[in-house]
Amino acid sequence: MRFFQNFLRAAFAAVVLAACEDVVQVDVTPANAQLVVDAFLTNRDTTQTIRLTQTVPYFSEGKVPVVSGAEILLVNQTTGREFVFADTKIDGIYAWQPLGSDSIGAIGHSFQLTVRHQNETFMAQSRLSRTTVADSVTYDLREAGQDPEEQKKGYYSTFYGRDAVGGRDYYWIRSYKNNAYQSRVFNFAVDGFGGETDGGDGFPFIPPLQNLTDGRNPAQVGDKVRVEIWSITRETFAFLEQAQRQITNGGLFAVTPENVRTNLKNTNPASKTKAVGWFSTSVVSGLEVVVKEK
Amino acid sequence: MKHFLCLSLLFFGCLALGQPVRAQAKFSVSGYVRDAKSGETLIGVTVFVRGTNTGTLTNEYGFYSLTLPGGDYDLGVSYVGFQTFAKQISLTANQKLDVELADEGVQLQEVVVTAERADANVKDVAMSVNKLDIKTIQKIPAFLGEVDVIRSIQLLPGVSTVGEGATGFNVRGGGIDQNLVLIDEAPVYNSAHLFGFFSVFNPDIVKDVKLIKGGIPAQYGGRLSSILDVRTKEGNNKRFSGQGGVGAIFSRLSIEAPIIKDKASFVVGVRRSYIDVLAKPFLTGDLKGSQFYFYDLTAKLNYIINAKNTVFLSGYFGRDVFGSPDFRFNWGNSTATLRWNHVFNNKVFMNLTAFYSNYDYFIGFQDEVQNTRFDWNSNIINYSLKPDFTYYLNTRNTVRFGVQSIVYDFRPGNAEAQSQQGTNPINLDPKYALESGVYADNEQKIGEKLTLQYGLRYSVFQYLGSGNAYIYDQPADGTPRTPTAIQEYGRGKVIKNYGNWEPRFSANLTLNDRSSLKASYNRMVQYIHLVSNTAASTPLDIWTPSTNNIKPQIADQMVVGYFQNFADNGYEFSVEAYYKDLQNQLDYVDNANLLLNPNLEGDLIQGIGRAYGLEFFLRKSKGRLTGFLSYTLSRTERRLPNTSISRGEWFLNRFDRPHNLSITADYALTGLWSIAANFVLQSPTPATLYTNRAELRDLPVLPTLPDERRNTFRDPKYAYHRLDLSATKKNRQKEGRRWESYWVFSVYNAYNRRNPFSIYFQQNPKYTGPSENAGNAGVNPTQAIRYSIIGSVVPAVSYNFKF
Repeated sequence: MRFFQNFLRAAFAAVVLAACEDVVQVDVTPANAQLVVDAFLTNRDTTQTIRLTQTVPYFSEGKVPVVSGAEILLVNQTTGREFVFADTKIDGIYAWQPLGSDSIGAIGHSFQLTVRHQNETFMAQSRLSRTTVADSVTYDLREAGQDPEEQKKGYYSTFYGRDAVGGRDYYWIRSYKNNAYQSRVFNFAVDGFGGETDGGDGFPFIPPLQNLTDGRNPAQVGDKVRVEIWSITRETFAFLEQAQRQITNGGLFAVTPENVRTNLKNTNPASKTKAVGWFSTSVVSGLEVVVKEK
Repeated sequence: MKHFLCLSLLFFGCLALGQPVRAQAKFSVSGYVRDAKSGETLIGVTVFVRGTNTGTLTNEYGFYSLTLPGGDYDLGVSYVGFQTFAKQISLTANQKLDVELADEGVQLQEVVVTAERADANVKDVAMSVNKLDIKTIQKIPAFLGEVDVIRSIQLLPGVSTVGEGATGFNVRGGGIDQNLVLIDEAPVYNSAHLFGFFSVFNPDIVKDVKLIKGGIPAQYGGRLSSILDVRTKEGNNKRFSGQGGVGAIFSRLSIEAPIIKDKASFVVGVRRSYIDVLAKPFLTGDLKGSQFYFYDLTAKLNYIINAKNTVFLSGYFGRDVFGSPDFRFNWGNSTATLRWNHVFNNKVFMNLTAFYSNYDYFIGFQDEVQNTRFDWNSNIINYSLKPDFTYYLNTRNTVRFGVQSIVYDFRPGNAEAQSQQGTNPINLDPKYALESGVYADNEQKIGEKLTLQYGLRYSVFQYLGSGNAYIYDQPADGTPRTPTAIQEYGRGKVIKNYGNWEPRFSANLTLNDRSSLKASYNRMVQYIHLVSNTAASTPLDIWTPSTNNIKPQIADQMVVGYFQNFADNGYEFSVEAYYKDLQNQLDYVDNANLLLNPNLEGDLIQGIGRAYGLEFFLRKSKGRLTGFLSYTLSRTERRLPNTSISRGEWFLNRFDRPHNLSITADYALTGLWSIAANFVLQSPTPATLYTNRAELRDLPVLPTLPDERRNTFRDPKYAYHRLDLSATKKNRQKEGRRWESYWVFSVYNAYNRRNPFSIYFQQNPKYTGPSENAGNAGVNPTQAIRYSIIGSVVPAVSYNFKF
């Protein structure tokens, strides 16, 4: 529950004015590299890509090594249709290019992904669920905050929308500035807000889910701000929540560092080789505005 | 009842064996011992026949009973800091003798550190017990100059904490939920204010603090590691008086007065922090409108109805509040205790306690523009009744027996979401349980050298409906489990029943007047568990009962020790070695979801633990220089066999600190000044660190830990050490005025050590990733952070008064 974690952290920081963080040098012994599968697909009519790379030592810099020569097959289990993802440029990006308004499938369809690499086969499942729409995106000009690094002067945007009525829905709310995904604005929701409980059904999204702006990179006049609401599965929601917890881990209320779960399972139960990463399929809705002077 | 009969038979059987029959008629002398100045009862006062070894101690309510053969005796009543009382008595019938002790005067009291019997360290059968009276606690240099019970406890051997600012404390390798923290016998579920910088106990109201780490007597149960028994003082029943202080972070005021002179009195104390008020001008931008403060109120009423009956009513109510215009967050404990002391006759004393305790927190969000609101609260409530009897059988045997029942009402989460369309309630099922215990214990002197205390407790725990029992088929292998069935139980129906025998044993072999050997064994069973997987416990952590899936935790502890006093009891020394074997320790699957999760039990697993250590303690209690030194060498580990957690191997607990040294000293200068210092040196706690990372396009740094082992990193250069200093200046008391006051000047972390609370790895905030992103040129994707709670010297001044 990120609301509460963030809030706890802020509350604690307010009390402990003397607390401090500084960067130190720590040596750890890295383990052998593992295969990383980055497979977040949508049913849009645009090129769908899966990226294969390797893990690197935690403190390494530069680009991560890409993995070419793997075989990737996506099966729409509902229709039986197969999609071959090919690494034509030998850059670790495996792509499937739809023709016209074609797509991998429709709401309710189930999918299986198979990745074969160096005699190991990994498989994962996903499903296409419905999503909801953003009603509006607003923005207002804010001055620099107390920490001008964390809150720069610029236009801060907020979106309004509500959960689709009925059933349990999971969303990944993604923010883009000039078509660039803002990875630091990391919002996902169960129904109208977080938590695996009944009661958020049909609820409007509340702060901080509505926030679209990374305080380090607010929009300026002329910038395009877009919100996309991706439907995700319950498992993908859990993956994002775990990833967020590990990525933002630290401080007094840090959780034990641990591996974020993966849905890529080695089909050979005797093999000790594991993969890292995630396979997900989403239906997407979006709304974009261009920031005008206010 | 069956068990109670068994216990009774067992005990009276033992007593019969231990007691040769004597023909001579015996009589008892009994009564209360009180402070002549305030009427307050005194705990642990020695009542003895002068010139012999025969004697007894007053109990927690100041009551004593001494049975002797008929005859003339020269009776003495002595207590450190008070004038010894002496009286000739002629014992021809049972007799009642209440004693009021006069204090020795201000000058001498200044150098008294301990208010217990001078040779208690050696003579008492109890071991692994640390008593701190409030005068001792007040002498330890404190954070922001504010005297604090729990932070003082952390200086004792065998006690540590995961880091400053963290809630609670760890005793002999146990978790923070394994301490039974009592205020006037009512449990406190979160002992922290401001996340752990201060505890809930108002030092002006506290009379006596006792920490029991081992050889735990049978009247206590329900937690594995320790009992922290905090007792509040009684109001002055002679005259109106009060005390208080004004400090850097909060102010305190307490008043006490007789209601009926010598019979009934009250005391009430309040504290409130005001950093929020002081910080207001600095709270601008998004911090504007922030609230953060705490307050608490502690009160007690006592009434001596007659020589046989006394009643006490005490209560605590405290709250921490944080908030902003959009968020509200608060938490706190409330407790109420009603006690009735009844003297049946010269030999049988009863205390009947009834208490109520509630810990709750509340979180609320609101958005006025959209007219939405989300409120959430969680509680643990309990009610208990506990009759406890002490039977002063004869000078060689003191029997204690009783029963206790606690009703638990767990409300893990009640939330309400409100929008324009209406209100949606979100409720996690409440859980109910009943915990009962029956116990008996005897302290027996065998010959001049040997004292035994043996006891037995039988505890029963019933997890009750109405509620749902989750059934899992999958074994707990370290991965989350989904229930295969959910079974509904009606109101009051027993979902799961547990029963455990808990033997307790202690022995004291006196070697000579100044030294003794002690040994003890105890089994403790804990039926309720704090669900927390963060480094420091948060106020949001919830308690859960043992269920059909969660088994009660069990600990077996063995301790041996050597105790010696020297220089006319001016120095106390002890060394103790302990070993603890723990079962059913609560742990969590990787990526467990502990908040608002109806299937919480599917994310919990249980393992085994072991903890062992060696504790040294030296205390100097006489002279101008007083203080204590404690050193602990210890280890605490855990294992989750047959799971993937840390590969199913033994791993160190997060709060493991092999070396733990603390020295605290107070020196009374001539005149009105005294100075004090406190030094702490501890091994750093171990950490789990990522070794690798993966890059996803939308998650630029996804850390990985292919090795899977927990808590393997520890670097001695991150050892914790700190020096605190303080100086106290007494103001001259004006002739004929009761107003006494003193200033305390303190410096916490005097040499500005930046002690890490933790080392952790994170994505560099400047890194936007992924690596091909042009904006990342020259920016390291990741960094290691040393996180320190206190990163500077913290000076403070406080003004304290008494009238």
